[in-house]
Amino acid sequence: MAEEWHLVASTDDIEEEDVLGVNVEGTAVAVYNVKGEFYATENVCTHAFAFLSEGIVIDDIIECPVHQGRFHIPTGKPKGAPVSVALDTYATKVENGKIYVRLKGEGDP
Amino acid sequence: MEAAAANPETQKLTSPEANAKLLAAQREIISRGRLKPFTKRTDRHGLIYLGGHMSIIFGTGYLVYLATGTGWLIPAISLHGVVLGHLFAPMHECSHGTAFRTRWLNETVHWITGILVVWPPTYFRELGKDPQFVLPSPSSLMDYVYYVTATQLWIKNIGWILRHSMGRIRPFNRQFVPEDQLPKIFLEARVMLAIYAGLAVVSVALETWAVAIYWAIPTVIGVPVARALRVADHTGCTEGKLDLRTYARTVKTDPLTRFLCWNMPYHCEHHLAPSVPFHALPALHAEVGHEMNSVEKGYWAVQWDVLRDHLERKFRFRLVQSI
Ligand code: FES
Repeated sequence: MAEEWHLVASTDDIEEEDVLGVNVEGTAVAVYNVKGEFYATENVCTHAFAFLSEGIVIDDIIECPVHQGRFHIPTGKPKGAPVSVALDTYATKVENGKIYVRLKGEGDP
Repeated sequence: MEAAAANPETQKLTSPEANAKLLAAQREIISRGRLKPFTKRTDRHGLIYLGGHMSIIFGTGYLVYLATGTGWLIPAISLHGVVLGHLFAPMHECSHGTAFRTRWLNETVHWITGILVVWPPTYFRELGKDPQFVLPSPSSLMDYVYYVTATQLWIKNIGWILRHSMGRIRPFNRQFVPEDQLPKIFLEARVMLAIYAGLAVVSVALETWAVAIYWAIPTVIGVPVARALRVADHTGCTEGKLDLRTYARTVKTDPLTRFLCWNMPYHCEHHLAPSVPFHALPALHAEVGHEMNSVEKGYWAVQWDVLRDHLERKFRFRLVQSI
């Protein structure tokens, strides 16, 4: 499959320590601004259903809005109860002030 | 007044549908954009409150020391116990991860306060995930007394610690705990038990009453005050329905009580958005308080309302029966 980057937002759209929910080809993706670095993970909490883009970014942690479960944004790893299953993470790149996300599997040989 | 036990539907309340409804209910009252400034975490506020709370504890502890051997001992122990009993507030705040921005600080204070108020911290955090964690109205006067005197608390909490330390958990309680958290909950019970047993052994070996006089006895005497305040925060509010405007009660109180409760008298705002740290609750109240269940009464007036309401209902029931 050819490597496919999806334009999701401008860097100005996401303040520092904030998150934006976007839809990439039917996949709910959360895009984060962590101290000027942009990351992307799946947007749905792995505990029970909640959009992480409704949550709070604290340093490099996203806190779920419903039960305050925590994930490490760069790796998607669970960091605080009640979450125990990691989030999928997606590659991002920034070009000319635009943020692009590549979904899992895309660009894989 | 077993909080969650009163609702057999509890397991459904953490379902995806319930979560979506909960967030939608919050959004009806405040948008994410308006809420965001209130959610900023700091260490500073938690450290000021913790420092203040601990200073008052040392102050009242000193009063106990001065009063030992005099007729003032019981009043001094009671006062000390009331302040100790309010350590439930930072334990509760830390369970949401909102007391301190720095995670290890939050978790350390969660643990220490949990040990002091005899609440297993991790287990408490799991229980708090139930969005329907409200106190139903007392079904009888005995029920009220059982709750407020903390008889129920000691039986329940010590029972949990003993049972969990043996690697067992009641099926009802099990539903709140994800599989991978069970070992942690069993371990925390064992650690707590070891600490309490260690304190007892050291007290006997050193022939000292210090632990009993400065912590155990005052806590038992003082916790009922904190319990009574919790009754006012919740009892009689919407039971069995997710209406965040009337889900809890925001009570008017004096600055000292508000300080010792770490702003929990803004309880309706707390349940509206548990991710808002305690220090931002007064500001959130200023923003949305007019829409919330804020009563222009103090804790003791609300307490009386709860009791009167209960007695009236009972009276009406008797009247209907006698007709
Ligand atoms: S839904 Fe995210 S922590 Fe429960």
